[in-house]
Amino acid sequence: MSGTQSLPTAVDALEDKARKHKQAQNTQYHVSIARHNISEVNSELDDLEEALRDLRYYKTVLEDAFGGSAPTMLGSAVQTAENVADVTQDDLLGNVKSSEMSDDEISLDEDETEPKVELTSEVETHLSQIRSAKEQVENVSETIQSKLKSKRDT
Amino acid sequence: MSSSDISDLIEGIFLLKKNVVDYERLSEARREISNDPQAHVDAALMIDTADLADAYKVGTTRNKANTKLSSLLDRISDYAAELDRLTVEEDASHIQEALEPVERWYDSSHTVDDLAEWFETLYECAGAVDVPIKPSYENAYETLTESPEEVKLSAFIDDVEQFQNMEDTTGMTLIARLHDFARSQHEQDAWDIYEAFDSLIEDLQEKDHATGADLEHRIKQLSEYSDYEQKRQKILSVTEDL
Repeated sequence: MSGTQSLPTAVDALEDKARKHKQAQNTQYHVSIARHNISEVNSELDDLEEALRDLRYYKTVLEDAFGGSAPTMLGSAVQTAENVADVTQDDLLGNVKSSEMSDDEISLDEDETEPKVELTSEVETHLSQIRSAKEQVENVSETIQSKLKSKRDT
Repeated sequence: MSSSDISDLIEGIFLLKKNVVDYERLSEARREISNDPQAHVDAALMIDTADLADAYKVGTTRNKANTKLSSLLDRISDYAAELDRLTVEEDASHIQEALEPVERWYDSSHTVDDLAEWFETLYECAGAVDVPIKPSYENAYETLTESPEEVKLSAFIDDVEQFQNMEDTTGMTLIARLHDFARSQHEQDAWDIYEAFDSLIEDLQEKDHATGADLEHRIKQLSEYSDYEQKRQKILSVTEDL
């Protein structure tokens, strides 16, 4: 008596359709999380860049105006900054999408539409490395500023 | 059509009481009609009152016999003509409509537990893709989950088969079928359940669902993602001068 499509087949097809719908919604949710994570990284990179530009300014003044030499800790700070900037877009992609859910984990009766403000552990690590680099750069800048001050005072 | 159906039908039409008429003679007439109702409808169609004198009158008592016998017989003839005009196409289309979901989805392998499980799945699908839950869906779901023992699939399909071959059914037989269908719809929850399945499946099939590229592709399209590359290149550019 049944038509071209059996009832269980129709139910399975519709369940698959609903799951894809939830997967799409889930993707949107994780895109929002990823955007938040990348924004946090970008913000810290802005701070690091500003710290590096300050360092470059003080170093230039010390060397060109006062004939001084930059402290040895400069190399280490610059290397740390380069290391965090060596994290490529692909690396970043891996870091921010770590919370993606597989199809099998999608539940039809769960509502996950409000993005939570959360950072992945990989991004947390990346952020702490950027902040650490910025602190080192700022320390070198302060050291150079102290040198400049002492040179101006003599 | 069973003889009891015809008997009940006549009882419903005339509502005669034992102490008002000659019940014995009436019962005999009822039995005769029940044995071959269509023959009596055919006979009633042939009633011709043209030569019947107006003096013949009927009423509830001798003194109240004010209705001409010809009028009464004409009404019987008219009623027979109405019965004769009944057709499946015009008068039983609602049965055909009710059969469609059943013929589309019913299978003899179905159990009530199956139906409950599938309906529950469809219910979840409706929630997932924002298909509104109609009262008929709620009722079907409630029956399947809270009182499944009331769903008698074997009795239901016996009824269904009765209504599937009605092409040549006319007159009195069709009246009996219409009566049986009303009873079946009242007694068998499966009619509403298969109708609810059909409607909910249609709603879900028509509903557009969100589709999206994979997560990596979507992230790569973010402006923040391209900003990141620019920012790290700027840092590398500044460190070159250090």
